[in-house]
Amino acid sequence: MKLKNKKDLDKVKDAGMKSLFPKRPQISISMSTCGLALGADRLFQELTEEKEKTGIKIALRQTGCSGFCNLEPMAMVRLPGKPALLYTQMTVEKVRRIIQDIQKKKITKEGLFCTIGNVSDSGKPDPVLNEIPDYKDIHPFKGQQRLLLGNCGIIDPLSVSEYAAMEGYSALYKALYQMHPEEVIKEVVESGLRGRGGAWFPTGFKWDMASKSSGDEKFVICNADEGDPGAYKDRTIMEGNPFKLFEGIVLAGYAVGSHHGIIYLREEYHHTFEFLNTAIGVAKRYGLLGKNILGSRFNFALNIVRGGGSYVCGEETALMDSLEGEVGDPRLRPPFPIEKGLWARPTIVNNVETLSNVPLIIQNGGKWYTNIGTEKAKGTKILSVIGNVRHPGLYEVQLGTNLKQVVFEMAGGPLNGKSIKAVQVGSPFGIFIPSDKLDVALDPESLKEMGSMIGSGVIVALDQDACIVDILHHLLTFFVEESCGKCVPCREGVSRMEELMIEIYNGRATMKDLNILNELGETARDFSLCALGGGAPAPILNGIKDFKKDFEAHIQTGKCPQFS
Amino acid sequence: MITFTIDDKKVSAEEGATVFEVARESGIEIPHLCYHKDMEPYGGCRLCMVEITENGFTRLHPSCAFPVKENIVVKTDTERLRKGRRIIAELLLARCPDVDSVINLADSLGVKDARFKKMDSDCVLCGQCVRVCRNVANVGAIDFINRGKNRYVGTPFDLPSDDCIGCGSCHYVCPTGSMNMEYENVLRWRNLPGTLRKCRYMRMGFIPHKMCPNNYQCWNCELDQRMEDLAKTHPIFILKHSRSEEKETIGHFEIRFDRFYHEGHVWVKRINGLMRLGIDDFTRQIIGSVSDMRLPVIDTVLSPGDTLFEISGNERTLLMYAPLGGKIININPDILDNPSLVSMASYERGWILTIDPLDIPRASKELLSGRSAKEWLKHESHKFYEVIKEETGTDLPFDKPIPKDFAKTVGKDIWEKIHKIFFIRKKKKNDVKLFRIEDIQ
Repeated sequence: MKLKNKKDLDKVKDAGMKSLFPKRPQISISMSTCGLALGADRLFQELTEEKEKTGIKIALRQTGCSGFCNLEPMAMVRLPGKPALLYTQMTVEKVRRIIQDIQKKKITKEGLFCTIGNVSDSGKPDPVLNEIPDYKDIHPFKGQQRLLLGNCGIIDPLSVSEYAAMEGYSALYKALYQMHPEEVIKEVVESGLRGRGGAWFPTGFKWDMASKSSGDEKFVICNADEGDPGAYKDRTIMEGNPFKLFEGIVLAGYAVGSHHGIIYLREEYHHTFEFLNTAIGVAKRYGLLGKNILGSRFNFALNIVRGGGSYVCGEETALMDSLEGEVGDPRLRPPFPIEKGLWARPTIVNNVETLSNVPLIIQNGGKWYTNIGTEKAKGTKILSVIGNVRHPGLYEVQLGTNLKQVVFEMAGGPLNGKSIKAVQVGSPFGIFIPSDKLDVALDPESLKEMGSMIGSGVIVALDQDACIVDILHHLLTFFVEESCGKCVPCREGVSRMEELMIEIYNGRATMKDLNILNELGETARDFSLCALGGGAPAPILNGIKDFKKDFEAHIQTGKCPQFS
Repeated sequence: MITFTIDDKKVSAEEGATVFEVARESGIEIPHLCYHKDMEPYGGCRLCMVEITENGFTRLHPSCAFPVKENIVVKTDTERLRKGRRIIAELLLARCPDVDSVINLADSLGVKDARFKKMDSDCVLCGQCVRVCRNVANVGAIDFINRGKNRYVGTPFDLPSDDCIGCGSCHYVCPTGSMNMEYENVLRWRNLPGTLRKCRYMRMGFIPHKMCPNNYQCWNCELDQRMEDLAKTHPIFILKHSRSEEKETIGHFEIRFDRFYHEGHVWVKRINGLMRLGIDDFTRQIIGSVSDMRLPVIDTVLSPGDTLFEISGNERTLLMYAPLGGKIININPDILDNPSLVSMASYERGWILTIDPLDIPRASKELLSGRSAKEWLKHESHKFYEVIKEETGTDLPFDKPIPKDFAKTVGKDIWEKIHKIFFIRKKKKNDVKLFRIEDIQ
């Protein structure tokens, strides 16, 4: 059924509300890549069989990941008139018990993690669920501002009606029917949205220039080549709420006058590829992609292209080379992609998270968006907190939130009573911030001041047992492996840095070699062609400065302190 | 003219020139390795980096690729640059310790020895061979293989390439002498009987026909000597300048020479034995923009002259006819999502459908290409301006493209006349059933 006007959209919205708040018990299993890896598909299959066998009246559905993969497989249970119940780390036996309890009109306590919206029919908190906390009061959800992730894990990612019930597609409707493309760009400029892929370039400014560059044919590329080690925010958005991304892409196309979008998807995301293809099919059936979107005269085609597995293809010019079928080497700039991008046409490249912010901005206005975040960086940022912390996962917080608060309060701090030695913000290019300097606001400017970056938002926490030399050696191996080899400072320089680092690690180097490492690092930083070679030295150069003890231990004893 | 400062000297240059070229003209030689005056900049060696101050910000840029701008301040020899260049030279020297050109380059920058483990490569991966093969010779027999420090130049799967024409330009441009032309290919060709032994100038497209009497020992060949005297560089570089363009504009209508044209203003391009079809630039400009279409379904069998598809836009429709017979194999999925693509990129991504042709020899007799297509389009464009003048009394300006809303401005009857004159050919046959896009999906 194609949605052609406001009435159709409202009709779908009502249907969505009905499936979100059903009249009979409903169990949803979270079935993203992470859930599937932990057996969610088997769980779902068993449940289906059980349902058929016993003939009990329970609705079964699927949701996406909510950002905490170690708690998977999750099950969300909705009972009429009760708040939604979130169960974590489910097994077949546990779910069976839940079903038995539902038949007995009881609430299972085992495995119950939290409630979502602790309000019963009477409008007062449910007494039975009194001791169960609401998700807003419990780690790891406490303190988050989930603008983008809010619906991930709640709605069925393949249901247009449920997304519409969550105010989805109202932004697109507003833009197509009530706004000129210039007005859309104006709102985005006013919101101060900046690119979330790592460079933090003002999105509205990029769109404005692209809309003014000449040429009939333009491209919108959604960069989903999420290769930063430890990052999975884009995957969570794509699998948890794909229509939000599609809406953002179509809005970008409408704003700059493009009719073709391409999602450049990371090769390793096998399940996401299948999943997104299905989602595109659904969106097309509803007339939300393709010809005459929402009954307007705007057409937009969306394709998915999978990368070849190279990290450097996340760099926008290398990405376009890869799309054209060439070896993915970064191109020289100028010309910039907004003038001459994919197949020499004006092209905008935006990250998944950036594009997912756009529907919110159009729906609520650019001014609303400026209330969130710091003076220069607006909005929220999804942080992927990993390493030695109690609750690893995705944390969506306002830009400018204190790093200490994120690591120690929200993520629960280090494990087993140990202390934090260093935190790397913006892995892999960010510096390792020593524990005494952690009192810093998480926004691009504050971090730049201390020589680091927020990047794509990966935060790696290391506890007292970690050795920085070991970690830096590991990082350098990654950079050498992923360098494309086009320019000398990155290809030769960084690989020589790795060579020296191995010598240092094994205690075969002298303190003089640290100077050579410094010289190489500075050359690679200043002379490289793209951000891979230019960014690689930062953690190394700062590591030598801030963690000299680890280097001395390696050089003088030849042993790694973490094993002694 | 653009004026700016290089090393405290005011210079002026044409727009579009690069900082590197201007510096060289004013007597400043910036160190370089991957630059070649006849090829696009590559920016791989990073030796030609200079400090450029623009709007108060000083940044490092490769001078070979930076176009000159008004009032920029360029510094080509600062301590920071010298230090970086020395490190780069040292890295290259450690990679290629026995290559004379690298030793000389390092020496000129004050680097005598490398502090790193020595390798014994003789290739600096400047990419000149790859670029000359792909962009100048238009062959693309060699490319980079692997990435990072494992990168090297070679042929696909390291097998002798069938695409190599043996022009030797890769060997000619190589600054280190590491690029040995695909010698195995030459050996293969040597074993061919005399009548199949084609001269490399024939392979390059300089001369229509010549057999090699010298067993590919070009240094013994008189023609080779003459060609090199004439070119004063590798002959492939003159070929690049004189090679005829792949497209041309007749009036304001673009024509491409890599495809056939049919008198009903449909282009046909042969791809893997199938025929791909689309509308030509004449149709595109007349209709202005396409907003909807009607198409036949896949597996429809056509004979020449059948109705093929209908495009509509600007409140007008055009019915187009099949230029050749065959079975419809494929419809461009992109135009189903976005019909306006047909008018945006009519020669490229806006193709419409693919046909498995029935009778290629017969079809090719009726299709136009090259000079005949050019003559035909010239004739059609003159006729078009005449018809418009006759019917509407207004002169469309010859020197401007047809206005985008042209179709809307002419009356329905004139539009029908245009359709009859330019799009319907005599042999009109069956009406194939056409479907709306919504129904095809």
